[in-house]
Amino acid sequence: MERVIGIDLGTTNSCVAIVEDGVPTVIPNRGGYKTTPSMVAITEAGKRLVGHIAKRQAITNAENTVYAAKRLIGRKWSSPQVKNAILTASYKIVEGPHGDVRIQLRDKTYSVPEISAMVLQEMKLFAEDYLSEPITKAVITVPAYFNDNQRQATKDAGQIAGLDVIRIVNEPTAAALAYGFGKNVEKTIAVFDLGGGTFDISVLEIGSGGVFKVIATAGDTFLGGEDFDARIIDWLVQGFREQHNVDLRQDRMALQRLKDASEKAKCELSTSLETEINLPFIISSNRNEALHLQRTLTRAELDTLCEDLVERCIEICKQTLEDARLDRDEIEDVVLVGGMTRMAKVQDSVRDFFGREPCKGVHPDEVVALGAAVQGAALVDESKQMILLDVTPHPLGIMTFGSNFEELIPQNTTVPTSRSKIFTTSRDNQTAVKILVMQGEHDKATDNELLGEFILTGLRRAAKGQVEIEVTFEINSDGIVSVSAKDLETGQQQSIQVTASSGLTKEEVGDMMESAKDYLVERRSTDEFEGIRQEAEKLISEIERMFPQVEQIVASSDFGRDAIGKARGIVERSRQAIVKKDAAAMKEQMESLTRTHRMFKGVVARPQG
Amino acid sequence: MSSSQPPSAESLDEGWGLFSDVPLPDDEDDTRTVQMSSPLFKGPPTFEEGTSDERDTMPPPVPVSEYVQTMMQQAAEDPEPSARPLGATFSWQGAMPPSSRRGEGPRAAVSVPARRRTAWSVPPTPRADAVDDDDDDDNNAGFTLIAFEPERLGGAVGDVEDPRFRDASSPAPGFDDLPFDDVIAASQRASAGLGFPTPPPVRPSNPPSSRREPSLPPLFGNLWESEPPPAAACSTSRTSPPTKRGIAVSSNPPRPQGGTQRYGSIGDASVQPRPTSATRAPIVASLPTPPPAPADPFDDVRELYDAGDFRSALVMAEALLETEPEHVEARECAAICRETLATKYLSRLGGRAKILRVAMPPDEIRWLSLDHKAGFLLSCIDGTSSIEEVLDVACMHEFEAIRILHDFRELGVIEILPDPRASRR
Ligand SMILES: Nc1ncnc2c1ncn2[C@@H]1O[C@H](COP(=O)(O)OP(=O)(O)O)[C@@H](O)[C@H]1O
Ligand SMILES: [Mg+2]
Repeated sequence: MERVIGIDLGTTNSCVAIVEDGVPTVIPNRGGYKTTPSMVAITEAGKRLVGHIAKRQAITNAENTVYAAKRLIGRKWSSPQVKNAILTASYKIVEGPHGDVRIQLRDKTYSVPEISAMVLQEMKLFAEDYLSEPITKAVITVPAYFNDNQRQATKDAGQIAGLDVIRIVNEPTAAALAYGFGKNVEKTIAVFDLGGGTFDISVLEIGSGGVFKVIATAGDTFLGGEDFDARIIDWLVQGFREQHNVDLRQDRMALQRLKDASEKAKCELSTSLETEINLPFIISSNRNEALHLQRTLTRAELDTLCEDLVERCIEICKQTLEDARLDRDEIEDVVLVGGMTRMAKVQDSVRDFFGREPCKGVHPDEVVALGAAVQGAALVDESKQMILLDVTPHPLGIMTFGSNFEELIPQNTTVPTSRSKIFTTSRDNQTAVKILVMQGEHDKATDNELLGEFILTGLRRAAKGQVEIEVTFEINSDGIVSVSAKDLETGQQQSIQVTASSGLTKEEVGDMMESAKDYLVERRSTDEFEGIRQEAEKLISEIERMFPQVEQIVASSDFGRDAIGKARGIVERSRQAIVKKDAAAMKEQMESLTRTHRMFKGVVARPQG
Repeated sequence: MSSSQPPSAESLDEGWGLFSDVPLPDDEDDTRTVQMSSPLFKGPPTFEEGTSDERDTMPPPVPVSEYVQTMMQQAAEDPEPSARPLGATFSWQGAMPPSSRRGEGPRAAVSVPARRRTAWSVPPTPRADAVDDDDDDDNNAGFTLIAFEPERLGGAVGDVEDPRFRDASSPAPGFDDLPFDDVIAASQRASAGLGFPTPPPVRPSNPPSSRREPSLPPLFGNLWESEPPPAAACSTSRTSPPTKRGIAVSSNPPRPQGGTQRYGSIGDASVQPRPTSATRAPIVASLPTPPPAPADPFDDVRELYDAGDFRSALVMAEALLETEPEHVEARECAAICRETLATKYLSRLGGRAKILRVAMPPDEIRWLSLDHKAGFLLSCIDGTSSIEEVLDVACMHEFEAIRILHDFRELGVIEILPDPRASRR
């Protein structure tokens, strides 16, 4: 049975997990970390950096480092979110050929799914390394508020990365699963997710049969751990200015160090009460002296610095409950998700607000991936009890006379599903109707998102309201929406399939998939070469170190001298292969090198008389 | 890798026999420095070809690096130099290589015209010398860590030792131990790079007796351990180049003229004396007075380059480019120097896959004079990142970063972890 990985493709960090012997486990990346920054950069030399390494140069190479691509995925160029991102992002956002969004890095533009695919590809590799087997299937999580286009774009990203995305799951749902909800519990829970760049509060209704309904979701896509870091940076910069009259923000290197140190300090203060921030040689003074930054930050100070940020989260919670007409005590459990919820102040505030102790795992930034892995395992293993049913994230319907929105499939309907409604003509002698398929919560159709349209023609000429047309919405288990309209009199029918659009055509996705594969092949061969090269260089350097000694020892015999010459030849050819990056030649030389090395060691070790 | 048991005499001999199935390297093509002439440089090199006998004692295998090939293409456009046979010309510029490894005596067979400066020879690619017993080095130009130790400098300062004129009969290290660029460069050591006030050229007059081992100050022992002792305090004079992009040279504050000073300076930061207890005689005091400025400022660059002192040549070239940004030769020379030095430094650091760790306690690091770039680079070293990764996040010119890392290691600020994990990218 093929294994399925669960991936939390986060705004700031991504995490991959798998169910191993029934236990959901997070897979560490090559550096041993359980989460990997969702960042992609292209260096000056054109090299692609993903994850921690991209993060470490995110400020110094800001123009060519993509962060928070999730804020852009599946969005239209014209959307307000994109407009906002253009103003705030340090990388260049350009319009794509289909009104979609592209990101320019150095001399190339990438679609947003492509960028996300680079992160997913990395996660896939970690899993393959860890499991020592190829992985093709994945469950990927998205925020509960993601619309069909965003979900589709996320699926496209998976496909580009070489993953068959068997299910897209809502993040709060995955988190709830990881905390063990969903097993014969019927509960209303709140999922409080404070990540690196976003805050989400979701209220889920867990029903029997594993149905997770998102009954309310809200949040702030510009409120997260980064804001906490920024407060620390401000504090450091201000203190430094007071002390040295130098503005650290002027220098990118200084700012990069400040950012890294601030985040580190913040994390440390989740477990200790005090931390020292020590940045020697952070900048040169006006008199060209190197200046050092050294300060101590206490947890209490951090709490004060970030007080309003935490308050904002709580305020959003309050509003969400009000909007959903829910009482605080109707929430039976509160689940903490996101790295920032490790902060004691955040936990305290959540406890105070909901009036109960929140469920907190040790690693709140890993629970979403764990839940996705649980769902992935359940999807391929029929013996698994837990069946998680997808629900529609937004109401679906059509536009009717007077620009009204007529809902056919309400939000949170479990899929697969099918609903029909009968409509009539709105004008006399109307021979055709236009069906506008829409998604959204608004009563006014124009405020909702148009998913597609089609026309049913050949209607009988009659007074308005006489001709009946049945409109059917059907959503299959893959989330594909089909809409048909049938003239009940004639049986004549028209239909469309509404496939969410990620902004990319099938061909484009295919091409991107190919280039992602090519990249991988190239990288593999580079890595392989690198491995051999390292080994060869080690041998060469050891051989060379022994040369004088060996020469001295064998100087007396012509025979030995010959060997020295040959050894030099071997070393030289190996070196040539390294310089030419000729993997085949290098492999060829390895044996000779190893033998020479062995020989030299033997000679050197031989007792000298 | 297997092999730690010393083989018996028989098996050893058998083992040597194994080499016979390995084709001998094509010495003429592979293992020689290839002489290159840049069309940008005025004259062709004019060395005579050595005898075949001599070839056996030619310099150690020197790979033809990629940039040599680049240069070859350039040279190919210049029919004159490309027509010359490979393998015979070196950039020694009238200098003798030290005695050969088999003791054949001086390279009398190489008749080299004295002090020609026209050849624009490609330097040998540095070898991946084991970092610790690598005894070649360019001088310390651009990296002012100085322990003034007269005994390391061949006794009296005027008593100059130049390995190029080393008496063949005197014990000298095998050629392989001293890649020639560095051997030649040894004579420039302690001049340009250390930022002395311009001393005049001193032709060596006395053959050297033998190499002296340096006495090692404990803290910065690494540096001296990995370096040959400077053969001469000031055999070649240079106008001291100014500090340029992180290479702190003579624009540093004037050196104290007495007592022992140790300086650590990486990057643009000015040099700050670091307190130390030892006291040594000043070397600067006995340096001769500066000569008149040369007519063509590039002559100095060329001379340093020809002598294999790439670090100083680079500093000078960059200084020149500062005033004459369009100086084509200077730019080309700087590029080659950077590439050569980068390869050399990287090989000393053990290659890009090696993982670096900070080895000096923070309070000692503070005594160093680092600029913020070096400080930034230092902050990238976390004990888990490879050199490659550090370079990726450094966001500075790769050469500059490599140089600083190299200098860090020489200073003992960082160390290389013994077992690199497989490269991750
Ligand atoms: N121990 C900790 N204490 C405080 N904040 C932390 C801790 N660990 C991680 N974080 C913060 O959590 C944020 C990342 O949360 P995460 O859930 O991984 O992100 P996202 O869901 O947005 O991708 C970062 O701002 C990070 O600094
Ligand atoms: Mg998250």
